[in-house]
Amino acid sequence: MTASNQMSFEERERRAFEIYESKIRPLIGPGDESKYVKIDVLSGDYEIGENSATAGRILRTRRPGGVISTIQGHRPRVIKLRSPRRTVRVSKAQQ
Amino acid sequence: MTHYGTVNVNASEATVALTVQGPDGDSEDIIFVIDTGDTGDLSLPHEIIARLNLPMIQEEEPAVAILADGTARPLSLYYAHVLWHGQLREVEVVDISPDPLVGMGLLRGSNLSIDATPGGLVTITELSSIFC
Repeated sequence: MTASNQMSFEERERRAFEIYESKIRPLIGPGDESKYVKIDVLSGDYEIGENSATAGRILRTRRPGGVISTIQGHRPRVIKLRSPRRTVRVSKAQQ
Repeated sequence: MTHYGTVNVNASEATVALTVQGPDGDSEDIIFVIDTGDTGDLSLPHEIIARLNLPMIQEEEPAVAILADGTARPLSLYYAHVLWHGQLREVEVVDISPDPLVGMGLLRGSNLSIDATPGGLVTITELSSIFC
């Protein structure tokens, strides 16, 4: 079992936000809010970038075995899928 | 550089074909639906992720997706490259959708134009090339 799946999602996000607020947030100036901040919650190391995949890859290379969380816009990043793909069948009676 | 796509016959979806590459160098040309309600880079069906042998990003497990009805669910993140504006770009891929989707994460830095009529033209142009 890796450190990543030993730690609950809530604990990972709590630690990440603590690190972000204490030492990273002052570095995020106006206009930088859309950047992705990748944080290894075990070491406190972080990487900031325009591309989430690239920033994550750089930090994972530097901190193999780390537990990484992503913050964007001063908040934990969640991926929003507002339009789940479904096939909707409309019956003739409803047409 | 500009990517060209089309709107489908009932004008309900705008699509664009992109080349996705896995870690072994295998690549596939895939038709994606453009989904501006998706904040990620790409969504792919699990069979394509498996076929390209895309590596799972273990260190960030689980990521969380917020669905259209507001519910949250964990999802797996994978790592891939996509040919984007003439260069291979690193992207994060989720396997939550049965259809390939391009989200706003990848579209960031581009101008998206859609002629929303059956068979209409879709263009995705790199913003730096517009302003240079």
